[in-house]
Parts: sequence; C-alpha cells; structure tokens
Amino acid sequence: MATLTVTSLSIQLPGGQPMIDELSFSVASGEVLALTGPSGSGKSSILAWLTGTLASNLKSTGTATLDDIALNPLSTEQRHLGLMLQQDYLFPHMTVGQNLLFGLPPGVKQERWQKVCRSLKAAGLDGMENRDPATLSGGQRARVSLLRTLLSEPKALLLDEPFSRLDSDRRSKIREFTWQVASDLPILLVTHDADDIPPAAKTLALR
Amino acid sequence: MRTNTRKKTAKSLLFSLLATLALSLPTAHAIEPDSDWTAVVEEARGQTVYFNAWGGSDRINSYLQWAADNLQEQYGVTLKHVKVGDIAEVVGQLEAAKQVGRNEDGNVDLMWVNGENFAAMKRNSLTWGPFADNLEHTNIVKDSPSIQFDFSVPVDGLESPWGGAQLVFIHDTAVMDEPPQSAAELLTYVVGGARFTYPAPPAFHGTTLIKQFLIELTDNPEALAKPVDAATFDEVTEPLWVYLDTLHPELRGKGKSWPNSGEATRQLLDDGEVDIALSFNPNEATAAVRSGQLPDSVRTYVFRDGTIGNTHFVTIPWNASAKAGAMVVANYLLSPEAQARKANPDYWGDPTVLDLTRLNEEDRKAFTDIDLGVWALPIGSGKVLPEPHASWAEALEQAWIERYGS
Amino acid sequence: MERRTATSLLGWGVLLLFVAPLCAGFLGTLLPAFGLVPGLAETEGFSVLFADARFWPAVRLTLQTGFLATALVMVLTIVCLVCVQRTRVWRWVLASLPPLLAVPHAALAVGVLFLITPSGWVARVFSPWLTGWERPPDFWVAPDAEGMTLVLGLVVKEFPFLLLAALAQLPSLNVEASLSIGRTLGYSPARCWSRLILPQLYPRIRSTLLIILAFNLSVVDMALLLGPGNPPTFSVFLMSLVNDPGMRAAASAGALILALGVFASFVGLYGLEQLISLWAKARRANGRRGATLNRWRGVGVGLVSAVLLFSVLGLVMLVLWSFTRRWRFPDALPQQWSAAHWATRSDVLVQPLVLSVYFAIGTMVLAIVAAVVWLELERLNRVPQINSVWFIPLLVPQVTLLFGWQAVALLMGADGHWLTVLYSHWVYALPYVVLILATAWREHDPAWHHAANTLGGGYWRVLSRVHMPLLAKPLCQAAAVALAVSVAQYLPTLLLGAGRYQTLAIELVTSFGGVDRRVIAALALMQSLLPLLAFFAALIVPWIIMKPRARAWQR
Repeated sequence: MATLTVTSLSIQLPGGQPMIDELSFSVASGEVLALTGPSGSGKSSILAWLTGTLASNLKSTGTATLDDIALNPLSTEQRHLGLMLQQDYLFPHMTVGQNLLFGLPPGVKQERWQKVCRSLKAAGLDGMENRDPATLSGGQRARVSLLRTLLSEPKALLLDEPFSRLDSDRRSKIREFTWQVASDLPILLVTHDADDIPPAAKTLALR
Repeated sequence: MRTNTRKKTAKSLLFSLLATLALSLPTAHAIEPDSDWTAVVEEARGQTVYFNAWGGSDRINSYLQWAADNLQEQYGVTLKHVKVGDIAEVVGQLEAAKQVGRNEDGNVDLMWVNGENFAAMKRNSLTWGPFADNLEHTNIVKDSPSIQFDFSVPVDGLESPWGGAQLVFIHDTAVMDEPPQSAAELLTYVVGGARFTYPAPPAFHGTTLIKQFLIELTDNPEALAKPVDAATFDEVTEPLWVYLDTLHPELRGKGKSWPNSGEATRQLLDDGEVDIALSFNPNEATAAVRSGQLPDSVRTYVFRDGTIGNTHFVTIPWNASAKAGAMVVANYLLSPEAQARKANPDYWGDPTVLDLTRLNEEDRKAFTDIDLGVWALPIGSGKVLPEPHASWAEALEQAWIERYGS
Repeated sequence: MERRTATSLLGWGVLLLFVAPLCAGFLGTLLPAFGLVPGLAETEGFSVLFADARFWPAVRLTLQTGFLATALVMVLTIVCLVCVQRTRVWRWVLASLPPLLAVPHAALAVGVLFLITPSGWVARVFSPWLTGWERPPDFWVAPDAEGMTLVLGLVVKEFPFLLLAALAQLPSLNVEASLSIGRTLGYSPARCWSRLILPQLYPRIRSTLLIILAFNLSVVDMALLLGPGNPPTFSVFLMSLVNDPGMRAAASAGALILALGVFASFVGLYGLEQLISLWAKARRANGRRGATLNRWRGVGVGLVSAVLLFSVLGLVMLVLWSFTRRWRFPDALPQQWSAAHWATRSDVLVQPLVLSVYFAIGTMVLAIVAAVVWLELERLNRVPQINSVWFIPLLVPQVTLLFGWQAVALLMGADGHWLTVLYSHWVYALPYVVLILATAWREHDPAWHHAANTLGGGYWRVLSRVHMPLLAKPLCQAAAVALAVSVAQYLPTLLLGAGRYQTLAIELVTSFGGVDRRVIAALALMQSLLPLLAFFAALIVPWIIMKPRARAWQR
C-alpha cells in the first residue's frame, strides 16, 4: 500500500509572505485528495514542490514521503510521480505510439510495442498508434496523455486541472476513465471545479 | 559555336558599357614630366594626391600625416595616404586598369615602390615619365649606384628616391650577448635552441632575408647580379634550400606558421618569443626603445660580411589624376626638412638619400643633431651588400612558396 | 489607382537597389571565371587555380576550420541550453549576449589573440608561479598552422549569435512543460532536451546555423588575423589572387568554387541532419531514461562560462593594452601605464573613427528608411511578402559577391567612390534590419492603426505619431544592428573603396602585422565601442520616447 505523505509544508513568496503555511496531508493508494482554492492560493506550487520543480525564487520547508521513501533528496526524475497538466503536451514530433513508448520503461522492442497497442485498445483508441497526435480530438489526446503517464509506472498521480480544457460532455467520460485506470494509486487532484471531484474523495481547501 | 556567340555578346555588352563611360571621363591634364616647375606648383594647388604606401607602421603613417599637414600649408596640396599591405597589389590594380583602358583619372597618384615592383611597372609602362629629374630638390640627392639602379634596373628618372634601407638584426643583450654573425652561425644558434623566425615571403623582410642567405650560401654569386636564368636557377639556389630545410624545423612555429611582417618579429622579440628580430631600418630599435616597445637592453647589428641594402622610391603612375600634385609631394619628400625628420628615430629613423655636403650649414645641422642612440646600428659599422637583380625576388618567392608555403 | 502603382513602384525600386548589386556581383564573378571579360580576364581561371600548389591545402584547411567551428558553436549552444539554464550563471550569460554580438569580429579576434599567444595574458597570469615559465613557452604558437586559433575566434564570436537565435525560439516550444513532463516520466534533463526539445528546436534555428556555416567557410578578416598564412584559408588565398591582374580569372573561378563549396556544405549538413535524425528517431522512444549526471552539468556550466569569460577578457585586454607603456612577459599587468598613445597617435586613430562613424550613420539611416518603406508597403499589400531574398547576402560568401561587384565597379569607374562603399554597407546591413523589423511590423496589432484612423488621423500622421513610436524599440534595435554591421565591414570597404577609405575595420586589419600593439588595441577598442554605444542607445532611446506619451495617456 503506497501512501503519499506531506508534512509541515511551508512555501514563501520572494517578499517573505507565506503562500502555504504548515500544510500536512496524506493520500493512500486508491484515494483521491482534491486540493481546491482560488487561483494564487498555491495549489500548483504544491505540485511543483512535490515534483521538485518549484521556481527557485520560492523558499520552501517541509518533507514529503512516498512509500516511506523521503522524496526531498531525490531529483524530479527519481521520484516516480506521474504528472498531468492542464494541457496534454503530447510531443508533436512523435506519433501516438511513440508518445506512449516514451512513457514505457525500456525493454524488448516487440513486447513494448504490444503493451502500447494493448493499452490503446483498452482505452478505446484501437489502431491509433501510428497517428499524428495533432489529428486526435481533445478527448483522445487527454486519454493518450494519461496512458503515457501511467505506462511510466508512477507510484502516485498528480493532476493539475487535467480536465479544464475539455468540453463538459467529454469531461465526465475522461474523469471516469481516469479514476478507473488509476484506481490503485494515490491521486492528488488540483481543481477549482467541484464536478471534477469524485464522491469518495477527501477535499482540502486552500485559502 | 554557341559558346562563341555568347562570348561575343558578353564582350560587346561590356565594350559598349565601357565606351559610354569613357566618353564621360574628363580631358587630360596639361602637365608633362618636364613641365616648368613653377607651372607644376601652380597646377598642383588645390589637388588631392592619393599616395599608396605600405601602411603597416603607425610611425610611418604618422610621418606622412605630418607631411600632409605641411604640404597643405605650403603648397595647398591635400595628401591622402592610402595604406596598403603589399604594394605589389597596387601594381596589379594598375595593370588591370591599363588592360581595361583606364588611362585617365586613376585611383593612384603616387606610390611607394622599389625593386621588383618598380621593374614590373617599368616593364609594363605603368610609370608616367622621367619626372624625378625635374624636381626642385633633385640636385641635393646623393650620387649613388643604388639611387641610379634600383635592384640593377636603371631608374631613368621614372621614380624619385625617398630613403635608404638595410637589412639589420635586433637582439636583446639580456638574452643573447653574442649574436650570430652569418647565415651559417645563425643555423648553429637556432639548432642550439635560440628562438628565431622570419616573415614568410613574399613579405619583403622574409624575401630579403632569403636573398641574404642566398648571397652568403651560393657557389655562384655572379649569377645574382644578372636576371634569373631558368636553366641555372636550381643549381644557383640549391644550397639555400638545403639550408632552409635544416633551419625550418627548428624555427618558432616549426616552419609551419610565420609572422606576417618584420615589425611582428620586433613585437615577438619584446614578448620573448624570439631572440632576434629583423628590420629594414637601422634606427628602428632606437625608436622602439624610446616609445616603450623594446627593452633598453636591445642592440642592432648586421652580419660580419654585411647585409643587403637598397633605396626605396616614389613613382607616379601613367594614369594618375593629380600628376602635378604628385610631383610636388615627391619633391617635398626630398626637402631637407622632410628628410631630416624622416632620419630622426623619434619619428621614423630612415637613412636619408640626400648628400649632406650639398646642404647649407643650417640644413646639415638638422641631420647631424639627430641622436640615434645606442640601440641603433652604429654608423659605419654595417657593410652594405647590393641587391640581386630585381627578377630574383619573384623567382625566389615562387620557389619558396612551392616548397614551404603549402 | 495611379498612386497605388506609384507607391508599389517605390517598393520594387528598393528591392531592385538591393538585388541589382547581388546580380551584378554574381555575373562579375561568373564571367571573368570563364574568361569572358575582355581586358579583365580573357582565359578561364579554373586550370590556373587547380594548378596552384596552395589550392588543395587551402581547401582542406577551410573545410577543417569551417566545419569544426560550426560544430563547436552548435555543441556549445546545446550545452548552454541544457546545463546553464536555471543556474546562477544564466543571468550573466543573458546579460553578456547583446554586447558580445555587437563587438566586431576583428576587434574580438585581436582580443582573443592577446589572450592565447604563448606570451599572451593567460600564460602571463599563471607564470612563473605555477608554470615555472620565465620566458614564454615555445611549444605552441598563435596563430597556428592548423587553424585552431581561427576556430577559437569563430566559436567565441558565433556562439552568442546561435544561442540568441535559439533563445528567441524557446518560448514557442513549451520548454518548461516538456521538461516537467519528461522528468516526471523519469528522464534526465539531458534526455529531455535531446529527445523532446532539440528535435523541435533544430528546424527553427537551421537557417541561423547555415548563415554561421557560410560565414565560417568564407570569412576573410578574422582569417587574416587568426588564421594561418601558409597555406591560408581559401578566401584569404583568393584575396591574394584578386589584385594580381593576371589572376582575376583564377580568383573569380575560386570565388565560384567557394560559393559552390558553401552550397555543397549546406547539402552535406542536410544529409548529416537526416542521418542524425534517423538515428535519433530510432532511439527516441526506447524508454532508456539516462542517468542524472550533475557532474556533467558542472562541466557544461564551466565550459560555457569559460567561452563567454574569454570574450569579455578579450575586450578587457584591449582596454589594458591601449593604456600600456611597458608590459612584458610574465607580468600579469602592465609595468608602466600610459594614455599617451591616445593623444600622440590621435592622427592615426581619429580619422578612421570619423570615417567609420560617417559610413555607419549613412548605412543606418538608409537601411532603416528602405526597410520601413518596404515593410509599410508590404503591410498595405502593395508588395508581396518575400523573405528568402534578404538572406542572399548572408548565405553567399562575401568574396563571391564582392569580387564581381568590384569588377563591375572597376569597369564602370565607380570603384574608390564613397557612394559605392556606402552602397555595399547598405546591402549588407539591410537584411538584418528587414528581418528584425519584419517580426515587429507583421505582429504589430492592426487595431492600433484602425483606432487611430477612426480618430481622424491622416496616413502620415498615424504613421509618425502612432506606428513609429509604438515600434520605437525594434526600430532602435535595428538601427543599432545596422550601425554594428557597417562598422564591422572589412571586405566591401577594402574591395570597393580601392583602399581609400581607412575605416576602423580596414585600419585594424591592414596594420595588424606591424603596428604598435597599443595602437592596435586602441583601434580595436574604438571599433568595439561604437556598436556597444549604439546598443546602449537602443535601450535608452525608446524609453525616453515612450515615457512622456505614457504619462499623457495616464492623465
């Protein structure tokens, strides 16, 4: 059972005012913790701090652990946190299949490719592996992006308003899809849309 | 056939272009090389003279600036120094102008030449005429073979003498107390670890140095006074190549990279990158020490049996725009005032071409008062060897480039 | 209707003025090469050229220095983007780019040489306490026979150029997001760059890289100062032929070969690019994450800092030497200082400065006017948008165009005239001015124009009161670049001016071999200061122009 735990996180603006003050929380596997609050309340900064990409002019204290491993001394690429941003950021110079291969750990070529095709099929994107990402619809892109993250075998998932750019019709489908495929991971969800938050989720409101 | 037609079309196009342009050119000047001197001075007033002269020395450049100021004041002539890297390029431009028929309104009014460049100009009729004998100051010039024959080529008044020069060596007594006294000794020194290099021919210090080596090394010195004979060239020069083959690997830069001028070797001497510098000016060291470019401990000398010396001249191209002005400049450059300043190491330090016995007391004193300093070549110490015939320079340069320049 | 025609004719006139010398220059090189110009070149020049012993060594040397320098510039730029961004050095890198771009090649070359000769400053600083050298070492020389000194000079000068071009493209590439996504997927920053960002960046900086390659293969002034002399690089070899009347055909033939060689190099680079791309594509999605190598990051930061520090130190050398009286090896600083040469040598310093300023201001004004006319007509749809033409002078070797232009000028009797020289400066400055202004002009919000028109301003009123002040910043930048380009022009001034116009660029290069090092330093310093002042002014002037207006609006 993996758990993402944050203890006594404080983030200060360059002027010295606190943005986040002594924040602690934890999310276990299969749980969703929703971070809500007005813009500027520091939601995204918490995610950046967790991934180790906080802007260098922001000062921070506090510790984070994942599976009882301290994240702070690790570099971004060693933290095994899956990150989804507002845009899907599919790489335009790679096909859909290559984008997914990019997420997948190294291994035997054919096996990796089969894995990619299987996951596309499971996501209802059958046969799209050689498509240019630019030719996909917004919903399809969002699914590919999530698959890419999950194929990299993260130990927790960080979502930064990942549904905000989709139209409301697709949004609910993608939400369902997300909760379903990532059901065994701790999920930290940043959003300002109450509809995004699944019923079973805990909510942490920032001011 | 088709290419021929095309050629003709291109030719006729260019010709018509040229013809149109030729019509728009101004008419010829009335001044001739033997015109009455007062008429020359009259015509010159208000003219601008483009003087193409080697611009690699800021001291020479400053000297010409001084001359320009005086010419403006005394004759109303505007002197513009066109600084060139190698005067051979200007000779080339003149040949090109001659070929396209640009016989008027040329870009060059006066130029600084001697040796093979003068020979080339004379051969191709690029000089204007015997103006030199018509100059006011021609009667105070020395009677010396090197003034009547420029690298064995008769001058015939086509160029006017400007200064004397001799190949000299500058060494730092703090590093090398007893410098080599001949080409052979130089080799021994360099093989023994002394630092030396020379500018690659056709840079004239380099060309002069290999001529010096050749004079010392060849078994057939008489051949050098005559035009190059292709049949005996290899035989005459063989000892030179043997010598250079041994010398080059021991040089600074291993015979693969070379300084680009004599002045550069002086700078290298001050930097400690070489032990001996080359100069064509017996007084350069004095000037350099006084202006802080060489240490106090340097001295100038020539090889035991002497080194090559020559005279340098100014000439007027046939198509010069301001011929009268150019004559006035050439004449001014021979004035005791200009020659005395030129002989002074504080300004240039180039030996005069004037015969001091033909000057009045006051003018002579201007020369005898000059303090040459201990750094210059002691007067009377340097035996002067004549230049080989003008044709040797190019032949040697060619052979050198073929062997070492590629 | 008639006014429309007249104004578009004005635009075409500008373009014709720009293109005509390029065509004339090309023909003026092409025809003599085949011996088709009576009086100038009557037999073809290729056989003479191939027979010259210097031909092949010069070709080899040119390819070696040109490609090596270009490759190093590319590598350094990548290293800088990957390693230096988001370190403390980054701010300094950004601050140093504009001034380093402004400094002319020749001046920087002089500074570099003052650093790296065996008796140069680098050796002096570490001698004798560390190296034990009481006299300069003799196991290297600079310039060296293999052209490594030249490579160093080219890299130091071109690296800021490519880096700036790359930086201008980064905002459109989502670098931060790509890095975040890539790194959370487990990839090292270096892998994120090589697999995600560079494949997208490269096509956007390709044209700049080609300009740099063309320049490195054909440069004359820097090669004269830093390159080997025997054999020299190919362009310098051609320079030694062009003034020899019997050799005009051979020189022209060589200039054609150089242009073809540069073009072939473009093709070669394209091929190489395809190969690397194939190889990279195959690897890109193999899933290997790469190790986080912080040590290498340090090496990268060190390398980039060293190169930039080198340029800055080169400029410092110019200042030091120009105020030196005595300064011998191994002292790290001059033994005796003196400002005397600035006064006593003012005769050789002031004239070139004044002449350079004349040409620079003339070039600046004419280039800005021409570019504004063209872009304004383009905005009004009187002339089409053409981008490729402006690149011609930047991609075709100067030698190729100018040998021909000189031949034509010679035949027309126009060589040695100041107008011809100014014309050539204009042709070389205009592309930069147009390219800089085009971005601003085309992106400029037409709503401003409409709004102003609705308020009842006539065309000229709107242009001068609204358009131009809003574009003051790019206009000033373009003016500064035009000035910098003019001040740096060596070859056009030399070939078309018949040596009569001793600008700082000419004075510096021609007199380099012999003149007093202190005077050389002073010349190079002045040549650097002119564009630096212009760039400084380009920062200040828009601020002054905009400020009162901004205040007025606030009221």
